Amino acid sequence: MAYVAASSTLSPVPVRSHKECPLPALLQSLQESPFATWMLESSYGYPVILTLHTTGLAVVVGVMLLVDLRVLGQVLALPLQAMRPLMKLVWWAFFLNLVTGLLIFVSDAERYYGSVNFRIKMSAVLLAIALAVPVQRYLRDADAAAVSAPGSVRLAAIASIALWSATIVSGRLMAYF
Amino acid sequence: MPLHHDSPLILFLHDSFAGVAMRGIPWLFPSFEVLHFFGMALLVGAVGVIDLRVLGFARGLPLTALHRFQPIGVAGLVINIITGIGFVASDPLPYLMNVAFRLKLLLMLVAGLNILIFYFVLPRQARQLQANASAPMPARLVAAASLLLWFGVIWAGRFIAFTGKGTL
Repeated sequence: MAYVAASSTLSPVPVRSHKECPLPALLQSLQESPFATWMLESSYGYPVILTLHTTGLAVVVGVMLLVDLRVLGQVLALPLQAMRPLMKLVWWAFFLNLVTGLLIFVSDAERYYGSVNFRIKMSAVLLAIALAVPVQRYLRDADAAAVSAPGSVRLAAIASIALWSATIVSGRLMAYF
Repeated sequence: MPLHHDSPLILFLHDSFAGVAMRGIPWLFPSFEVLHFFGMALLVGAVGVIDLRVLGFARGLPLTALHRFQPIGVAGLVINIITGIGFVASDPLPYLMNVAFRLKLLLMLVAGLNILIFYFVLPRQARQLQANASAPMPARLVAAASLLLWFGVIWAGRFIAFTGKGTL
């Protein structure tokens, strides 16, 4: 068979309808700001910021998963108290992604605002970050000899894994829908 | 390495089962992208935390126990090699000619050699740190190299999409 350049992968350029969005004036002014223009037109602004966002995602989700697994009773040889610096790492990486995420949002505010996947992702991030608080508190307060976390903390850890996963799925699919 | 549309490697990848499936099933490429990001997070979480502990971060964690998370890193790597082959097979020539893609492969190769050094060249005690123990300098160098290399893999991977192939 002769080689034919693939054309069947989905279009990387998202096509969206804004008909249901109220298009607040704020969004419009954001994406017409000089910063947004720079993000869209500079040859390195968007690539660097998006790559930083990807780096932060790997750290937040990857490290949080290890903490959640420990809380769920995996690798009990890791002292809970000693896991606390990992949460500091998660918070720094989350801060990086909050900042880079805001910059990415501003660059194309109307499009993101109207995206279903964006809204799902924001909801999942908010919930997941809220659940990091009880997990972190458990690391701090738990009895060193405790073998099993209370049910509510275990539930938070399970939900944390599910919600961060949802964040990856919806975030990745924002490139399509 | 000069490659053309009809180079044997390109034809082999393009006409392989993976290539046909990736082009023929519309939801497969996006699903593989999601999985590729999961794999990245698993790999970075497990490998990154082990490297940071060797470098003296979170010293209260015994390295022997942290190594129990290794299967997570291996799972991430396996997922990403499989999905990565899928991306390349979907349209091999642009990937294999892409500078960022070639850099990514090179960085992964060096990162792989670096892991072999950690497990087969360094003395055993470098991998078996107890809580609050410090790693010897050679182990620290390997850990620092590992962090730089894997983050380099992410950066090179992301730039494949900016230099012509893949999805942002």
